[in-house]
Amino acid sequence: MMISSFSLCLLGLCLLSLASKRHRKNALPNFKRLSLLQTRVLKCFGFACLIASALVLAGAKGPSLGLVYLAAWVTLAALAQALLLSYQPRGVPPLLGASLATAVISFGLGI
Amino acid sequence: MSFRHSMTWLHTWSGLVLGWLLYFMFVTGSTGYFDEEILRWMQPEIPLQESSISASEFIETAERRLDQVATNATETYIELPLGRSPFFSIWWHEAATPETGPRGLWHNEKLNPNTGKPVITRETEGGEFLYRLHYALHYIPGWLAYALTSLAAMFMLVAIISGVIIHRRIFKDFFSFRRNKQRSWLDLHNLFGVLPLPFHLMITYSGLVLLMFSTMLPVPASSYGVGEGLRAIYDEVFTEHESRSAAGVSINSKPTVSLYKDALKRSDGGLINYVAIKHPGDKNAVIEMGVLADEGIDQHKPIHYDGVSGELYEPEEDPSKHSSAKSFYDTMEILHEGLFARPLLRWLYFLSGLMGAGMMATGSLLWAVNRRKKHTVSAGGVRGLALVDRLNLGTIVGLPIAIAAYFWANRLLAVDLVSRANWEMNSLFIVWGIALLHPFLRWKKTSLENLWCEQLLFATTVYALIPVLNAATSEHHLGKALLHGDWVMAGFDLFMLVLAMCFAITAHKLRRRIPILGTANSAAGVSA
Repeated sequence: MMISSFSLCLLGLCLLSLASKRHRKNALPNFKRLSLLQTRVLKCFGFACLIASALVLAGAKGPSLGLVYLAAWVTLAALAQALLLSYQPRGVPPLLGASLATAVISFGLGI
Repeated sequence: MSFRHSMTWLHTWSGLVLGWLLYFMFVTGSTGYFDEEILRWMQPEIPLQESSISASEFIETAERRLDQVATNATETYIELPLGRSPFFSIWWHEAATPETGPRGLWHNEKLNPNTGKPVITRETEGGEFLYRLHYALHYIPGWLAYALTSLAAMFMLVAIISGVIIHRRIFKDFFSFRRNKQRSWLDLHNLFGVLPLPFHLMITYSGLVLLMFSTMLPVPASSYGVGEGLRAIYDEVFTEHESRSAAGVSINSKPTVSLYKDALKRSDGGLINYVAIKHPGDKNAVIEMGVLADEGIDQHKPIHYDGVSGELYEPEEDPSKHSSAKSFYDTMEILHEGLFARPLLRWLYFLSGLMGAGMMATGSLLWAVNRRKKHTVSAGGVRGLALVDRLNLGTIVGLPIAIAAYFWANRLLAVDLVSRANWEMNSLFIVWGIALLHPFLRWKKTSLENLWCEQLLFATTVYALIPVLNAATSEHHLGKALLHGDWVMAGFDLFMLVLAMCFAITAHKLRRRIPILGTANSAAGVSA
């Protein structure tokens, strides 16, 4: 379940970065203005993905090792996100789609 | 002074005062996550495994050798070249005698995986030396080193907590890195500090806990005294409890290979990478199979057998050794050392460690850049800034150059040189000393950017040539390693090339005269 948990982390952080106006205006220029409700929905889904990733890891590796992996995954995914937002912000929406697809497929395959 | 201002002051000075030592600790500590792999590269005499050899064959070969050399051993240990371990080696323990000392003596031999014959390797401390540097330093007594590194860790903990308090927009700026802007250094410092924040907190706090027997000596000393009394309690808590003593009756043990096969079935396909025999040839022999754990933070979940009957054996555990305080200490130790980490997690540990080094480096650079921006720097301030600038360069780029020198010395020093391992270590510090002196010697002749370029280009060269050095001084060149799937040797060479590329990119940025060191705003700093 390592791939599905990492994809969920990446997906969650993509959603959280898009909830921020500063990042959204570079990544999704057509959606610069979102209502408060819409940004809250993005944040809720973002955090839900991170929690789901934590649960998947705890189930696969046990709570202790799962927590270690979660910290490592969040660091790696956040680093990738920060680099993408700095150098290629338009790449965030495709990454969001790819991580969603990977999360679904890998969860289905149990990997 | 407001609370946030006082925290800013605390963060700046707690980070800066021991910042270079912390950078040193992060870099050398991170290399410790690959200590075995580094040792493998530094002992090129060990041949490549040429054909697929089963673990059973390895065990039989190792036992044949142990029968020759470890006739009076109280304990033997076979390390199999499976999983992370790149070595096929045997260990045996001789009982305490006047010759072997009060604790007995462990012997070790590395074996040729193809022939089973012992391999004579060059004298080197390998990655263990780099790992030890991060808490025991070098050339100074242990107690002083532990005190210094603990103090640095305490400063680090203070800097982390005060850093979180003063970071007003920790969530809003979570992903922010504004390139080529005034805030670039601060953004980078925040990224390196915040993204792996759980790692930084864990590694700093656990580091303090691991050294508490040195730094908080008065606490146990008040209860148990010092000297022998303290040693006795330390042994009681930390020495492995022997669940079965030797009976003193010789008897033939059950064949280890058959027990290995049984353990393999019980471990459900898990990897067994060591076999330990306590009291070999004795009626009370115990055979331990080291099954690599797939869950939890324990590295192994060993299976024990009675050495004579071959039945499963459950060692009795001493409940006094499982107090909550001891469990907490063990957990901190396991988390800090990351021995349980498989390759992917190990790389992430390493990456987080390097981000910690990056955090310290950017913090020191940020201090200098901000200082330079202030036009009203006093004469004393300019001198201080010039000193920090020089030490920043000599430490941030000088240390990696010195580590490269350690690898170069490993291959260039004569194999039969007396105190060879010591000279390898000395090479690191000699080269680091030169790298620290370089900015002082050339300060008035060129700009700060040029000095950085000079060291970065030198670092690029020495790292890029390490695979060439490896090809010239051993049989394990990169092409051969890749062809045979020898990922330890290939990984080392490839990572050296990656490092060379990182140094080259940074040098290139400086060559393009991007004022990333903030010298464009004021020439005061460089002319001091």
